[in-house]
Amino acid sequence: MEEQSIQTEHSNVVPLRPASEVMRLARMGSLHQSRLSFMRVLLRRLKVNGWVFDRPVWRINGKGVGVATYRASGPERSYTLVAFAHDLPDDLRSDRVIAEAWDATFTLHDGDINEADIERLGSNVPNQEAGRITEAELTLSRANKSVRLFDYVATCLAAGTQPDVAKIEPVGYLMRTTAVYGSGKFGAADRDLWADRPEFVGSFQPELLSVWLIRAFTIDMVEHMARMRAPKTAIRLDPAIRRRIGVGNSTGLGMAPFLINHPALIHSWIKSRETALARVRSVKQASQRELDLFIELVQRALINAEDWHVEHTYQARKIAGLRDDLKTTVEYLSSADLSGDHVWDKIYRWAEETLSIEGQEQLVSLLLELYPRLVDDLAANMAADEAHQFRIDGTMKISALRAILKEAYNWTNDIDYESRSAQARVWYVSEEKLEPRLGERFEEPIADYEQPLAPGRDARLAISDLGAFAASDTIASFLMEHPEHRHIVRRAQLVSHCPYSEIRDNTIAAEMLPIDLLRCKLSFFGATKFDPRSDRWLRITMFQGAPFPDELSDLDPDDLVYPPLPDSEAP
Amino acid sequence: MISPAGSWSVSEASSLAIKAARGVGMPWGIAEEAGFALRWLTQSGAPGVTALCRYLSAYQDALKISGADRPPETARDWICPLRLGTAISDGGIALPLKQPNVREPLLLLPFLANHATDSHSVVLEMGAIRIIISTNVFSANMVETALLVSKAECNIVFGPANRHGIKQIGERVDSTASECMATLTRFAHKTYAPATEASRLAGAGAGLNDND
Repeated sequence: MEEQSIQTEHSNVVPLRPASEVMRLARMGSLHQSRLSFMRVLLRRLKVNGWVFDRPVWRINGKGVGVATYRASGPERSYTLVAFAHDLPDDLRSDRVIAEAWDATFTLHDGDINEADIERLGSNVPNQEAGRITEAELTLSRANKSVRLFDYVATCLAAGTQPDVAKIEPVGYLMRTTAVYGSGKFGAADRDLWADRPEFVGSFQPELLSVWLIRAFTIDMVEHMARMRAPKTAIRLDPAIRRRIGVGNSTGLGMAPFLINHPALIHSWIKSRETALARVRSVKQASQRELDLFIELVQRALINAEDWHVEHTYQARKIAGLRDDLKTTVEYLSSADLSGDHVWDKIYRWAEETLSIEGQEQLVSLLLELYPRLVDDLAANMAADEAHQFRIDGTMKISALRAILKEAYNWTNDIDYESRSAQARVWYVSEEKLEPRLGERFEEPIADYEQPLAPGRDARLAISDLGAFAASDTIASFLMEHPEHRHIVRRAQLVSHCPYSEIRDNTIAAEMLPIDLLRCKLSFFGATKFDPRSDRWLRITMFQGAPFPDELSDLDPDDLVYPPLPDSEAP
Repeated sequence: MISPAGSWSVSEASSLAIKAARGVGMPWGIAEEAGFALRWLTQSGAPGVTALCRYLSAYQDALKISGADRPPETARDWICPLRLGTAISDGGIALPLKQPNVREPLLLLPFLANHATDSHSVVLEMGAIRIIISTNVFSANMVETALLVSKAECNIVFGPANRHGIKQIGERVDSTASECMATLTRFAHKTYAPATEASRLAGAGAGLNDND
């Protein structure tokens, strides 16, 4: 086991929560965005390092078709989002990966861009997966309109009136991205090429820079369409209303396997968050100002929870519980004796006994808000050198492997993998546009196509075959005879020193909910307003409340995540 | 839609290698090693895509001949570079080693590199060809394409430290590999389940209206 506790400048030591508690799907599916979420890390860094933004190209016609570029310029380098706007018939608008046309398509170009490159990208980016980008590009993405909200806002602005925030909030965006590809996909630059650039330390920074610039594009588009419709009366969006508009995202099963396929990376994310929590719980003395700030944050989170509306009963129940939890927390904070030492640990332990998992994890995120100096540096650790972790140590003895398997996969002891319900599902990739899917093992002919996404079951199978080997044999000899266990042995060696690398739940069980996996990943991105549309895809909002490029230097992005209290002045 | 000619990223080619190796029937853990090998070779400036494409094609052909129930590496005259490489990398097979009948021995290099250190290299000799492998890079007495040997007796020994070369990162797989990339794509396709209307709806959980 690696470091299980940390020492802050304060004297107390609170251990990290164990993987057996954190890496359960019910908890992973209850995580909320935090200071360590990648969108927030991005905006803090852009602000601190004085990045500036402009829009060198705007060639969009009266129908909303054309090209625009958004440039971000930092201390050493610049990046250019190239946005292609299209005229998409309503019947072709689909968020599924099987779609072939979109309202807008984008790429993030490395550096300033010239006309020849815009032209090259213009014949590829609109085709998305069917086109090619190059090592001069970092991301490829596309977005569809929320037709209802886009038309409403355009109509209001054309008539010279501001849109009603109450109509904006339930949707939260003018456009939603349906895929944001990076890290070498479709010809883009390999991560190795840019991973050591200071502006991209952490995870998914080029992707989220793209999304943040896309958000500015969606506003420019709606203002442009209003102006085209009524040049004499059209007005621009009020900045406070504008800030309530984020970028939506539709996320399906394609994202779910990521958490299982990148175990070292997931470990780095979870470990940073757990370390941050342990540091805050270890703070010996909290000031009255910090306590007041915390109560205010809980109240603001409650407003956020009350604005969070979903149809899906699983999430609707969790949100109802969250609202109750936050009300209970406000009452507790105003009545409990909070005068002693280690008050945050006391509050956390109270929450653990009193609140739902959804509420507990909301409180964890709020606790992190209070202590930038204890939390923010951990963002730099939220990446992994996966190549470095790849090689199997074949000299390890069978006895050691058995011990790891028994410890890290002990949650499988209660599972009967012979039963149908324990292995009801198969993760597979469909031939059709290579879409990841989840099928029924006993109802569809798909078992032959199964992806290796069931580590618990695979660990049981390996344990069984290890029975024929002596404790003093090496893994190398085991794997020569059983190459089929190579995949799980690699995972097991990793989990022995990266405890958060493995999900401690059955990922092929009949009752497994893929949306739990999706939510975990998206919370680390910084998404809010999780809105499951079934058990396997959901909508979210990104950057809602955040500053726009033209106001980043004047506003604190970290203060804008939760809605302000009603009596406080708008920033 | 036909993609314009161009290059591929290393990660793209490496992911494709994993799927292609799985597609011809290798276990996932070995397929992952194919991805690792392709990445290492490409970043070292070697024709990794071509070597893997040649090997998987031969593997596939041998399966067809043997009736698909026995993987080709069970035959005596067929030593799989990925199986041999991983066994050497793991320490299951010790060096030095003389091994006849190794298919596409270029694919061994990344695994041999796992046994190179700052104080010694690993040397792979195949007749007149001599390749000196250090942790991140290799040098050879023949031009790269001459390294594409379909089957050879391999003499693997330790040698003095190889101080040549620095690891290159960010190499691309260039357009000359397009035929091989197409072959790997075809093998990768064997890992994809044919779509049915039921799976199209249920498998991805759609059915609700996308538009709002």
